[in-house]
This record gives sequence, structure tokens and C-alpha cells, in this order.
Amino acid sequence: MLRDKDRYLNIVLVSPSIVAVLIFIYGFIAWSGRVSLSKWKGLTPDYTWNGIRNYLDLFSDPRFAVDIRNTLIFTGVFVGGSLVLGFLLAVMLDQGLRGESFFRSLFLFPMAISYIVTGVVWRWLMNPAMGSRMSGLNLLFANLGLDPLVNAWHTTPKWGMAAIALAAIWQMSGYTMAIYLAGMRSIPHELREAARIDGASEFQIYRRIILPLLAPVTLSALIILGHMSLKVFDLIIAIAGKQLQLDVPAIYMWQATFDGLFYARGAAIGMILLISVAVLIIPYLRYTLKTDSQP
Amino acid sequence: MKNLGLSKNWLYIPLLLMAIFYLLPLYVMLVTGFICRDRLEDNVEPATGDCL
Amino acid sequence: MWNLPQGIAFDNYVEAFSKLSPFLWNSFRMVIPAALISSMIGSINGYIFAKWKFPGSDIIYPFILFGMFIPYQSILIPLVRFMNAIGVTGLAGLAMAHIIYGIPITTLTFRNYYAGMPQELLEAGKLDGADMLGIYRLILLPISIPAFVVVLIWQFTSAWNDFLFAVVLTGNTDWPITVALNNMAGSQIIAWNVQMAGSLLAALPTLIVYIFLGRYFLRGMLAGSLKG
Repeated sequence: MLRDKDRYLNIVLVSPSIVAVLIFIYGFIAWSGRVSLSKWKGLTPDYTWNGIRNYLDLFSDPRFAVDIRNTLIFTGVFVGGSLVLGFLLAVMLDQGLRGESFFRSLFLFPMAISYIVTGVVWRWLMNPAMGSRMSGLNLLFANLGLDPLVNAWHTTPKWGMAAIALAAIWQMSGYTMAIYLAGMRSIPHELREAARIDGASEFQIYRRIILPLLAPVTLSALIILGHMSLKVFDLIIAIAGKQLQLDVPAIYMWQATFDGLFYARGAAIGMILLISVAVLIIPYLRYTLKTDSQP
Repeated sequence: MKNLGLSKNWLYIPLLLMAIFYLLPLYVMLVTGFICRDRLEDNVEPATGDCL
Repeated sequence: MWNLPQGIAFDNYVEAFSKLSPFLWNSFRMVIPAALISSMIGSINGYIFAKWKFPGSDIIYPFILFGMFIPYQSILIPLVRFMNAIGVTGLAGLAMAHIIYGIPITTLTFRNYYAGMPQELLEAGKLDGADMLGIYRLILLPISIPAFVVVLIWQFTSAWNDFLFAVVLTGNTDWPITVALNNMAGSQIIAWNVQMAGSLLAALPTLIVYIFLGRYFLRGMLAGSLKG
């Protein structure tokens, strides 16, 4: 069926994209990798071989240790919070209530907004000032008589990252809700009916039937949210700027490279981020593409 | 099953609470942008805008 | 602060707009071409990866997809140096970055869309004597409008909301709105109600798109998790 002209035309048409991906993704990764093994510091490139020195230095760098700790706190609160909240919202919207589509759109709209806008608004909402300068959520809590809720938000020692994660949950929990809801809608109704006839309560149906059936959805949400939290950058910059207390690898990479001109160290942080994302994403890609191709 | 429709109405309480959570930043963006000077006298932060 | 405003003042919005309008304009000038070009590239790629596979295309495809998950910190240094070396800087460079790093997601969305089209549609075109591009132009393109809307919205939103590329690829005259807003919010001399007004201005274009085309937005979002 294929005519000669068409046999090569398809390759010709996609080759610009393939070349672009080859250069801008894989070529640049290799280039970054090479920089991370060099002694480049300052404005002029210096590719003198330095082995894995930069990586070793990072792992004994106290700032990088803070970054890892912060990333873990952020990931735990953000991924856990988004999964739980998203699931609960999906269960509530799955009941066929009136106004369902209104609530669904409402829970999803933060996704259309940039992390910078979210950050600027939450920076004001989470204003840590106390006393007469109190504002934002703290002032709202105080006005409502909910004084125990007044807190220092992202300036809380050690746990400040959890406040940043709250803003991230605001932004992303709608996404988890949407994929859970899509998953719940694809579960055949007969399954629930059968369980109801067996005398199962609504709670038991969700606990014993729906949640286990949605395990693949949970897994993909876990991976998508997890890889996002490794990359978190804009949100923290917009809420708190560059503070050591709220430092993460992406910000350290930024400061090392563009403020401090420690290009080799910056590249090494970038590569560590890439490797941690790849560990999550590659098995996920293999799994999804495999299940995709067998309908 | 017959009281199911009735018993589900309590779900509006958490749903509305969550709606407040999601709308709060939008409210702040909208309303604080329209606030004028009179309202802000007690606040230390600088304010702009004259009341219409 | 939490009381409703007694009177309405537009001053904050006027002030925010006068400060931010050049940057809003920059964003529009960069985002619209980027979204249009992205969707055209994605459509051709998706068509070929779905319907005109070539030897090795099934191996190349996952490597393209992987590109949408990488942390851009791992390509940032080469990107900045490369763009400066080839002289594509400012808004043009930023648009180019969005187009290229958008190839994975746009290809994925269109591939999934075209893969759902029955093979008979193509066979009918072949019997009529249409070649590969003829089938694309006459049969598939007219029915791909939903996929175009999904991809256009997705690319519009993600390019509009981007901060990382913008901050490394543009200088202070061609900042897009996200960078300008962040810098405005960082300064102590600008009243916070002006900042809030500015945030709304920065959020408005994508919010409007979401309000009117939310259905397509959701579809693009689900495609991002590979479940097209």
C-alpha cells in the first residue's frame, strides 16, 4: 500500500522534532553531565576534569542536607495531602449531588493559575506578622476567635516547608480529585450494587472495593505529584524568596549557577534532580506504555 | 436505600467548607484590589485608592 | 482586612495595570505564537506516530515522552549558553524553548487522539487516491479540532504560567508577566493591594480560558499523566 514517496515522507516530517528532542533534551543532559564533572567556576567555561568531586562535595554540604530534608517534608505533606484531599473530594462528588459540576470546576480552577500568582497571594495569606501588624489568615483566625490556629506559617522553624506545601495542595488537589473521579466513573455500577445487596455500607464499599480498584490511579497520582515536588521552585520563590530555611535543590541549583557562578556545582545538582525524577518516571513510562498497547 | 437521598445532603457542609478554602485566594485577589483608603486606616501596611 | 470594602476603588487596578501592562503584552506576544506552532508540530508528529509508524518509531516515542518529565534544572546551563550562541534571545528564545520542550506533550496528546480514529478512515482515503498528506489534510485535520483546542489551551497555559525559562532567557525589557509580578511582589514599596490587583491581572487570561473551555483544559491535564 505504501507508495515510495510516503515511505520516507513520514520520517522527513518527524525528523525536525526528533532532532530537536535529541539536541535540547538528550544533548543538553549530556552537556550538563559533562559540566557537573568539571571544575567550571566563574564566567568562562572550564572543562577541566574533576571526576565526581562535585557530587561528593554536595553530599557533605550542610546546605544540601537541608535541601533534602526540606524536599522530604514538602513531598510528604504535599503528596499525602493532595492524595487524601483529592480522594475525599472525589468521593463526595461521586454521590450524584446537585451542583456537582460547579464544585468540580471550583476545585480545579487553581490549576489554571501560575505558581507565581498562587505564591504571591498565599504570601499575603500566610503573613507571619504578629500583634498589631497581624494580617492575612492569622487575622481572620483571630477575628473568628480561633486563636490556637494563629501560627508563623512558613517561618516556623524546621517545619516551614509544610506551609509552602499547603499552598501547593491548594493548587494541585483538584488534579488528584479529577483523576480519582474519572477512575470512579469507570468502575462498573454492578460491582457497587452487588456489594450493597450483600449488605455493605457505603463506607465499606469505598474502603474495600473502590480504593483497591483505584490502586493504579493512586500510583500514577503518586508519581506525577512526587516528581512535581522534586522540581518545586517558583512557588517557594514567590512565597518566601531565597531563604536558606526554605531551600530546595532547585533553588540551590539556581543560586549556585546564576548568582554564585559555580557552574559545575549547579550542573551536579541538576543531574541529581534528573536522576531522582528518572527513578520515578522511567518505570512508570514503561508500565503505562505497555498497558496502553494492549487494549 | 430509601433515605439515601436525604442523608446525602449533609455532604454539602464539607463541600462548602472546601469551596471556601479554594475561593479564599480568589476573594483576596478580587476584594483587596478594590479596597480604598478609608478601610485601611487601622492597618500598618500602606494602602492606596480613594473611596468612590 | 476581612471586612467587605465600603467603597470601591479602581486605583489599585489602574496602578497595577500601568505597571504591568508592558509585561502582559510581552506574555501575549510570546505565548500565542508558541501555542500555535506547538500545536501544528504536535499534530504532524501525533499523526505519524499513530498512523504512519516507521522502523524504530516505537522505540523513539518513549524517549520523546520522557522529555516532558525532566527537571529543567538539568538542561538550564546548556540552554542559556546555546540560545546566546545562536543569537536567539529574549521573547523569541523563550517562545522557542516553549515550543521545543512542548514537543513531548503535544505529540502525546495528538497521538492518543489520532490513535482512536478507525483505520478504515485512512483506508477509504487511500482508495480515493489520497497520499499521506492528503489523508491528513482532507480527512483527519477537519476532525482534529478538539485535539487542537486541548493542545492550544495546554500550551497557552503552561507558557503563560512558566517562570523558570522566562527568568533565565529574558532581560528586564522582555520579561513575561510571571517574572514581572514576582519582582513587583518582592519590592517593599508597592502596596500589597496593588500586588493583589496585579496577581489577578496575571491570572485573568488563563482563568478566562479555564472558565470558557474548562472541559478541554481537564482533558489536556489528564493527558499529562499519560491517560489520554
